[in-house]
Amino acid sequence: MNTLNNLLDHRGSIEKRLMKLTGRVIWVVQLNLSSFSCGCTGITIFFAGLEKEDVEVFASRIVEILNEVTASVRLDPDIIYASLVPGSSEVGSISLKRLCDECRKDYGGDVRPWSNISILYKKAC
Amino acid sequence: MKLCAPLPGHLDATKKILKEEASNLHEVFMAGSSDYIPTGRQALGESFSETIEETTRLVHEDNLRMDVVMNASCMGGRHLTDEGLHRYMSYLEILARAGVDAVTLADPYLIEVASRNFSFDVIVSCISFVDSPEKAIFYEELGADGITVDTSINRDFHVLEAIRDAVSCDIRVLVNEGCLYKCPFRYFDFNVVSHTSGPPPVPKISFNYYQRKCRSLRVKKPWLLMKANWVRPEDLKAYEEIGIDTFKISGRNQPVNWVIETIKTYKSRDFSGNLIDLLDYSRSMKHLFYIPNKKLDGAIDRWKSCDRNCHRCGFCKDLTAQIMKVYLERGTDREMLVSLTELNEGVPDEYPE
Repeated sequence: MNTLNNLLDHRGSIEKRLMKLTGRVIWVVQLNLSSFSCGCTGITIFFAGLEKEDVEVFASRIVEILNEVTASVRLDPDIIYASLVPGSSEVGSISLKRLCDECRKDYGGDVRPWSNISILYKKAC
Repeated sequence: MKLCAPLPGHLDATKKILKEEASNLHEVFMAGSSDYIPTGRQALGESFSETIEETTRLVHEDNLRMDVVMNASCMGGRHLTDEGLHRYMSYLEILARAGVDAVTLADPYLIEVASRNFSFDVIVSCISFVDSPEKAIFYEELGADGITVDTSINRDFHVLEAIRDAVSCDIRVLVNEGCLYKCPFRYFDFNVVSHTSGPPPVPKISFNYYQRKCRSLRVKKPWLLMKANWVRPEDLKAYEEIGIDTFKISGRNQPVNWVIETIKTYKSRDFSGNLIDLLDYSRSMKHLFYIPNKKLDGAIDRWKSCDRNCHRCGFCKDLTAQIMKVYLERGTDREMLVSLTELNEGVPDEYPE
């Protein structure tokens, strides 16, 4: 129950700190605890107003901010990545995931598995 | 004032809206069945023929008019095939038998077919983009009994007056759609929705680029919300002064209680809250931005004489900087509102590093 109560705080905190970081309005539309049929678990955060350039320039600061959230829900993510709206520079969401075995292979190589993602953090294997 | 309000489509909602607001309304509208003709907004449920018939009966009990909206911008050419035309004509016959008073359409061919063959009124949708006296005359000559003007001219009183002068049919203004001024996505998004809200084949789209881009543009440029095509309840009289007194409230996908509150607000011509809460399309942004409606008193005078050259003017942008606020940590104990100017100077209450 504490985790659920804290989700609003986390959503608001991420939004506010990204506004501070970028100096403009960023909207965290949703912050979801997620589980996937493949076996991955994590947090998915949906944005409006966040750009690819923001996540590239501020990658380490954004990871720092997000790690505070993951600590509170006891998620030790294997990967943190931004998904771009296909063909655009707009960040649709940022995912923090504990990977299943199959996805670990997909994300484990040297090359981004998909062209519309930008990896902010990957745990050393 | 003649107010037209949306019905979400299910009978419980219709009964509640009629019970509370019938005396404030002139007409109600709901989507037609997507099995026949798609609409301009994503349909949430099925408007079966029986539902429309029963809704019409209830609406008539309260002496209101019933309008069925089938305003797709694209039908993939189906309406121009023998089979397609037969299907659409059959559906229009069903609506005529149900006793509807009006049908709102966007396609010129269907407008002509409906007006020549049926006795109900034919209303031109805002998705027909009537933005000049010439287009208005065209549709009136086609048989239209009413025209909902393109929302991009909602604040262009010069053109509105000219349209009012050019035709004798009913002119309607959609007051709270909230879409971008001269929206560059408008045609394309309506085309997508026309296909995703209609009969098969329905494309399984992965994401709606237009709606996402629209939302992020407003976040990045909040003054676009100020320039959007809404009309404040307090400003309806400016339209009545030029002979336009039919006002349509957008929101057939919104919750019933919101529809009722929005009818009350426009009827009372008075609203003290966050203007974004009245808007159909961008309503969820009320959790990010706050536009104090009362601080917009008098802005209509400027908009009435506006020459639409935003790059030379800056009135809406300045007004946004003066009055619009941003929520920080919305929904938590630390929720606060800051002005855009304060935000530009640095987010207050900084976190310890």
